[in-house]
Amino acid sequence: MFRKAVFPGRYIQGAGAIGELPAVMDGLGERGLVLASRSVID
Amino acid sequence: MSVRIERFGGECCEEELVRLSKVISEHRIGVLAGMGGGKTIDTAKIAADRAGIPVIVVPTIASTDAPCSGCAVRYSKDGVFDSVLYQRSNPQAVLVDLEIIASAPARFLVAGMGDALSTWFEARSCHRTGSMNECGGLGTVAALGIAKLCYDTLLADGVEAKKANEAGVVTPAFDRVVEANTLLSGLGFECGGIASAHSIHNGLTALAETHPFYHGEKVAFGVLAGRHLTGDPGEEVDRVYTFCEEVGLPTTLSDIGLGEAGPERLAMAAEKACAPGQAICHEGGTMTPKRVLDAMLKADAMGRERRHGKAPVR
Repeated sequence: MFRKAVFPGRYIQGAGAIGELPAVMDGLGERGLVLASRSVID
Repeated sequence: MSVRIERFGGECCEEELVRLSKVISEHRIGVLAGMGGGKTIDTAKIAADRAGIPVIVVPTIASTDAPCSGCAVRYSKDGVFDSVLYQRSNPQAVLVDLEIIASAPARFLVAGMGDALSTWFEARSCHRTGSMNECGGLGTVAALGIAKLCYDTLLADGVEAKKANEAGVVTPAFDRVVEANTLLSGLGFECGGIASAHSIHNGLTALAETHPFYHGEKVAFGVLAGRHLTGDPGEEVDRVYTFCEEVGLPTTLSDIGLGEAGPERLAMAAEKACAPGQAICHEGGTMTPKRVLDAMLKADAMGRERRHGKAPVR
């Protein structure tokens, strides 16, 4: 059996890290969709 | 780029996934971000995988190690567990905003520590027995090292991180524990493998009394029961109990709603923990419902004894 490992493509952590979202989304596609929980929208 | 915002329907179920698929198709969406708790994130992962588009995960709590992983749990629309779905790839990006996590109740962070507490013990068991990890292969040296670092970080910083969360502030200890809960545990469980703690958690979910308790809280009790299954050295068992007591994780059955549960009901949980396909087989030796039940009762007795000086008869 082979050894296998998987990882997320990128991990960003810190105070205010959500500010990186537009740039990260922009790099992955032209039209974005944010699925947000009720607490996030509220 | 243009961005559309969609409100999560509240359950990671087929109906919600079908609804999202239509939105993605209708608006020709090229990238999906899931922002919220575990079910929002899981819904985004599955919907993006089905559409063949990248997914970005933005957790608002650090209560589990799911954000970095490629798997997701689907439920019925009434919230009953349906299945674990494995995506073709892990999220393309995970963004963890510490200010958002610090503004959530500390119970979420503590539950995340409970989930992360299992990572080292389960990866170690898989390593010892040559069991398969969650990627369908053997664990790597990196996975084992990451799992150990996760455990060491919790023990070193868990108490201070909880205090910081209760005060709603970001501190270095809080920063490290959020990383342990989210990244280290996520990589550790997926690449290192899971074992008895998660099987016992799965068994406990058969009992409705445990439903108000978070995943990581039940996993923490599974870790304690697992220590009695595998015959770990006394000092290691003591260290794990002490950690759970200090951060406020369950150490007795009553802490997860089972204080009044009789042997027959507990046996149901033990039976489910040993069902075919459960990762408890990644522990060494033959795991039977009787052994698991005994381990759960021993874990409970030790927890009560440490709390009250002696364990009252159940």
